[in-house]
Amino acid sequence: MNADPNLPEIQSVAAFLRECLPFGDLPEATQQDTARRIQITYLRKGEQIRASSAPYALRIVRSGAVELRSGDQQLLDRLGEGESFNIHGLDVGSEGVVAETIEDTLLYQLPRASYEALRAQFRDFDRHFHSQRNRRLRRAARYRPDSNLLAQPLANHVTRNPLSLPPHTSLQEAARAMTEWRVSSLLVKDGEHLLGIVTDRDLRSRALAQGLPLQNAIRDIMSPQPKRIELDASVFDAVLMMTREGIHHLPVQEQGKVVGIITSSDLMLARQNDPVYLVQHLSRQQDLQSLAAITASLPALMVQAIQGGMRAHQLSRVLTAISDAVTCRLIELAIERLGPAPVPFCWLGFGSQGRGEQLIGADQDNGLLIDNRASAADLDWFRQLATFVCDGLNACGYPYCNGKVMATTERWRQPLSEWRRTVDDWAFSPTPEAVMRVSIFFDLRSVYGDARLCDQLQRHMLARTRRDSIFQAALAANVLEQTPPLGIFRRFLVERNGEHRDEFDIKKRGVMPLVDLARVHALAHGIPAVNTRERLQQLVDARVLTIGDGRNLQDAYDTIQQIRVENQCRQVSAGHSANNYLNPDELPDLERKHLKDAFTVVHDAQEALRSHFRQGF
Amino acid sequence: MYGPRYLWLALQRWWWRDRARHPALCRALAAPLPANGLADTRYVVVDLETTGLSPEQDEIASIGWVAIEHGAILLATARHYKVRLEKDVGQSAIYHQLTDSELQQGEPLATVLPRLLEAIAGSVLVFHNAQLDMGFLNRACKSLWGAPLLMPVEDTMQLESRRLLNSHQAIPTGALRLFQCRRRYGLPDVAAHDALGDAIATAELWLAINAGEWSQCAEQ
Repeated sequence: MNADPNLPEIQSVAAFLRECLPFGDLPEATQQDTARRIQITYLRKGEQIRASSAPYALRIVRSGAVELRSGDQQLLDRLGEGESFNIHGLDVGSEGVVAETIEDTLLYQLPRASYEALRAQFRDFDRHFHSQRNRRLRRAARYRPDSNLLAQPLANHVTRNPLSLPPHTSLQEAARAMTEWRVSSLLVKDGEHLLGIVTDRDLRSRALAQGLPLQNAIRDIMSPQPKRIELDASVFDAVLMMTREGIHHLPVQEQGKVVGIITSSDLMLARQNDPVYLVQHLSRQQDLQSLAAITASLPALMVQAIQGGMRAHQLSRVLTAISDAVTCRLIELAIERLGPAPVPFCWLGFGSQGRGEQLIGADQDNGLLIDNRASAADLDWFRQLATFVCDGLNACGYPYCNGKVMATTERWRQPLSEWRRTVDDWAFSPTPEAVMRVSIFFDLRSVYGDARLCDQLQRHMLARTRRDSIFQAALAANVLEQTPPLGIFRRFLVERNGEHRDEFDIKKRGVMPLVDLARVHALAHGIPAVNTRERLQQLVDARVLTIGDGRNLQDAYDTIQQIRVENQCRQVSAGHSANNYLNPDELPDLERKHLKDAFTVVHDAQEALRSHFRQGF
Repeated sequence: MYGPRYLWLALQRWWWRDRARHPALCRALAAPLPANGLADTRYVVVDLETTGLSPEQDEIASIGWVAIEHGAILLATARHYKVRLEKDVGQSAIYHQLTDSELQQGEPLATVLPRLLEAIAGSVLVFHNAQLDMGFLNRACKSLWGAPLLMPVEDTMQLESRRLLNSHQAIPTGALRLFQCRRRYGLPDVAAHDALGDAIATAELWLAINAGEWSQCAEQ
């Protein structure tokens, strides 16, 4: 695209394009050039654009609003200022798409040739439009930066202010200092100037093995002019240099000045934050305090894992594995104290723990399922167990459940026969309040003990709910009460005042509606999975959901969770505790767009559910 | 469609077209007047920046224009030229944020004006407040080439004024300013304030005012 120097800059139009996805990422000169190719039209409210009659062009809403509807009048999308659509591109996926202005609308049209030239030239631009919303969302959910420990910046693992001694220090003094500092190397420095490095191995092979007198200076045994590494290098760079040079200690410099040291054991220690290590480590702790000390590091672990490129659903698996490990260890500690369990039992995890979707700051939701043979005295043992474990969990950062869904509550700590009766009661009289209370219960999983008890209960429950359409309808009605916080024209709805002004609760308004949806469908079709992604997959396998719908919901779920977790990471990094409130204005444009797309998918699925269960309401 | 008012214009144009001393001005006067409906008429929306409000004493500082064809504003036709001033800028500089030295970079009016004349042949001119801008253009053409710029002209300000009076509304101060008119049609505020930015803003207003008329053609 060549620009004639005589052509004017069209400031107002270029400035608007800069604010529009994905034009904002184009080079300045291209934005100017694109502005000059635009054609502006004005449509009154209620006018329609169809692929069959309108010229091929990208249409950008400059002001006003446009609704996109499929051939069968389903609402596909609602676009406001700065959003764009290509009616011909939309028509490829579904026939007869119509765009209708729902306000007087000023449209900027980028003619086909210019639009296609931009797509050919700029990859990200092309990617943005590659198809419509659903694919865009899919890429957002699947995008995964490279990552692992090796890609992390070295700076996170460097020991600052390493032990440094002047060159005339005696061997013995040096050995004493190293012992005292519990380090395996020291830097030999003359003032700020780094002369060499002395390691445990040097003391052994160059001093002891040679029989040097203890009074000799460390200058005699140091490795002079050691290799150094820059502070902004990656862990990978450090490992590579160590392997190449056959060394275990690297001084780290920043702007030519030595600021720290990194050792091969530091790099091993970096693995401590590896969740597998952590789970193992938890199971070896001997008391509550040391368990709590480890769980206190979870927010930091979350930040590190997400920065390292872990996806939200992987992280939630890991965090669930950790809370399982804490729970199991607490149960074992309780058994050490109370003596062995009188009858078999199963510790149940509900809610997010049950689903394997736990994040930081989750309440504890648990229960105890006891073998039918338990006597009244036996039940007291379980009461004590519940108290010990629930108190322990609270101390470890899993706060007590507000709704008292805990093994310490009698209703949630019962023999199997009683549990069955409770399920029957819920199913027979599905008052809205009862339904709300029990929906959490349907996401259950055995965390510790005899998993067969849990299976029996779950089978009973599925058999009840599967054939009970009144109960399903009540559950569906409950699910539909929480809607994604999108208003008309796809604006985010935020709290108007109070502590969370301009924010919304992304868990309550974004994650839960989707989780609830998956649950209703799963219960209605006897799907045993409890994890939301698995439920969606099994619903697709059972042909309850189309492949397209299933994928869209899964992508929407991944996108919302990812944005939720990244928001929590920002909170933790800023020194706050993680919560679920999110200010949409603080999101980057692209994420905001993805989030809107995801909410739209949830909203559409809710509408579908609403019409499906309408008879039962 | 245009009625008798263009008859008089046509007569005047016929009289002046051979008397004009610049080929571009001759062509602009000789081109047939548009006689079709709105949708098939080519419009050129023009805005001038001037050093003051008097065509006799003040000067054109810059000219911007953009064409509308088949109900679509074609930004590819947008042009913007600064005009080299003969006198100094005076008070208006503060308003238009132009300085003498910036305006020295402009081209002589005698170079810029023929480009406008080429662009408008066979078209209808649109202004927001035509009287003022046409006063400057007429005077410039007369003094440079001995003939006035006799063109069919539409005026968004006049149309708005008539519309408000017809609906028996009193017209508050400032209600006829370009951005106020735009707001009444739900058009977005724009920050840019130069001749081209205002010409485009006026063009959008023209589309909005005639929205019902465009509907048949806007998406063809």
